[in-house]
Amino acid sequence: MTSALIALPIAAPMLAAGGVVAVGGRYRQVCRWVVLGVSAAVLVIAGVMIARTADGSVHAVQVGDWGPGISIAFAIDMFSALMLAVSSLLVLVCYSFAVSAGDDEAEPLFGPLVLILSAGVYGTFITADLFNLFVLIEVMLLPSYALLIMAGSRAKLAAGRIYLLVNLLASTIFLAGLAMLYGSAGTLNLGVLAGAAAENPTIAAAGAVILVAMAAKAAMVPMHGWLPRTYPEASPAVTALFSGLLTKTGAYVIIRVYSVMYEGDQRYVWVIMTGAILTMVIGVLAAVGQDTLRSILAFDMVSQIGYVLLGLALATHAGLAATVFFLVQYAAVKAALLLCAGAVETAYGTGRLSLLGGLGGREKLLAAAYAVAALSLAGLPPMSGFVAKLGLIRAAVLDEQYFPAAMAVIVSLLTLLPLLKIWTGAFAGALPSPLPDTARTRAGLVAPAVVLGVVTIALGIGAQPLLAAAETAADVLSNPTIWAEAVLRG
Amino acid sequence: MTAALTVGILVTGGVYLMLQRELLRATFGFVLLGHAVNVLFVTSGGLERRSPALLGSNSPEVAADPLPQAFVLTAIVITFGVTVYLFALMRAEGLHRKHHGEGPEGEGPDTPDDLDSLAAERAGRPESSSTEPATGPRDGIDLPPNSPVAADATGTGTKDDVTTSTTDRPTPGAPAPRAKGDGEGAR
Repeated sequence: MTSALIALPIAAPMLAAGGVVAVGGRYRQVCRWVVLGVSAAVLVIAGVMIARTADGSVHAVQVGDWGPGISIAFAIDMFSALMLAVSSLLVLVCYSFAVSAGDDEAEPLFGPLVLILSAGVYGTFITADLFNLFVLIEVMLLPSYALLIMAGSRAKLAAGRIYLLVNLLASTIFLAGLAMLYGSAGTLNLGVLAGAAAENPTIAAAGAVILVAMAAKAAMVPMHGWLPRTYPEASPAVTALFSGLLTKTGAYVIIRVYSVMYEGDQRYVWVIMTGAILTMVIGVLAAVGQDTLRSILAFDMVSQIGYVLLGLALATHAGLAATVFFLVQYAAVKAALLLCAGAVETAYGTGRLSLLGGLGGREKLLAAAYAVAALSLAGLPPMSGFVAKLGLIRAAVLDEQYFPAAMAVIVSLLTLLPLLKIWTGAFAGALPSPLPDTARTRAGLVAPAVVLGVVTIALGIGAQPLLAAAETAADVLSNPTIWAEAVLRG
Repeated sequence: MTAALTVGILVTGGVYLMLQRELLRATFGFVLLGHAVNVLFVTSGGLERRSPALLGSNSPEVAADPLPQAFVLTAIVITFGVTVYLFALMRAEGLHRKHHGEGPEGEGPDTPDDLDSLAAERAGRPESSSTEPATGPRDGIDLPPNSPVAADATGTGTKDDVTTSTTDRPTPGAPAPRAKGDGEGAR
């Protein structure tokens, strides 16, 4: 039963995608419900798995009945289950937005592409084999190439080109790292590799190649340049989907590999720490200089990845717990912001701040959703971002790392700057020119952002369950032998 | 040693091609780089043992490690798929350029965000109306669509054009139709 539940998040979307393509355009409405239904089912599965892993256990399945260590293993612990839950929620929300915005009419294959993309993302969270991870990341990337340049304008094609080349290069480096790892360790099963990099410097060097490739995918400074140049060019729903799923996948893999293979080795954390702080600072400063909604948010995305890695770089139990909490809530918050921006762009035809203004009075609900998400991102109570950042700063202070703690506070304040820029540019002030009364966001465009806004308030006021879950996830992450034993036992 | 040299040479060629402006060359760069990684992977399984890995006919001591071979096979398939996609992207860019470069106004702003590139295009148009192709091969990728930079591109454009037409010719292999299509767009 459990093994079926573990395999379903990958299998179900893949099968559904094939089915949707097969029946094609004739039953569009049915296809929409299939996409939503499958994503909802994965959300339910994730919920069940969260309940089952709440005791700190790890559930694994050996595909194809090969012996443990030889077969391709899938494993779910609390961290995977949480990521599974938040990403399936984001697929649901972003797909609903895309349907309202008319993306799936512009591109008949939109639904199947989203399904395959989500299958790759879910798979990345639950695989326990590094080569399988590579394949699943490719499964995730291939539809993303198509989604990015969907209904391609010239700018989209240029962006698609950068995106494709950067990700292809990162994948190739990742593969080279896997080859070196296989050459030095003789296996790519993450369960067998547990702790290997902490003992053997050769394996650690091979692992570093993998981590660098993943850092490029997660848009960590100095490998962040591609993200702000490509994400804002995609359609709004796709940007939100990518931000919620793709970069988070890179961060997830870094956290998983570093905690399992390196056992959170203190000798190398300074590299991650330096990268994390640079990412935080450079991202937020660059965001201030942008002038369209989504390019501001894209640079801000870079900045927040720094926070995610900050907790990992502390390499303490509290740091890992804070990182897990941050990653889960942040994915939802960021998607909410991007969906607000997307709603404005879809209804008013532009995301350029100089052409917008005064939407606060016109779009009260949207403005409220934006305000909630923005304040949450900046880390103000009672939103979830406050709990997350408080956790990170507390973990840094507990570890007596005062400089990172100070940077986290400063960058948190600086985060308000680009978000305020959007507020004053788009929502406050007067309308730049009389708009036709028809230009107004529809309920279908606002509802997704509102749902995520409610999620962030709920996670902020009722933070205790997620905090407990993050603690459980950190228990497993900081003690990878539990995870490795489960993977090898099957 | 041979394998190490092979990987080194392939990576050198791959990186060199990848740093080129044209998507076609960059694609070939990735093909080479992909081959380099494949050789690296095969090497990681050990090159001394080469017998087929069949139980009963060969002892495990002399049998080759089948796992890297399976990995490489998967990687080849994925690289192939992405390469084809890159060629398709190239074709799309060529068509797009042809479409928008030859229209009466030649603009059709796709989104209001394109205003910048549109302005750049307009700025470049008057002087290049006779030598229209000069702006054709301009790469959207390396030039942010700001008017000053794009205006410069009209100067360098002609040079670009020459290299495009000469380098597209010596690659009459599989991607020939795409290269031709690309050339047409740039013509």
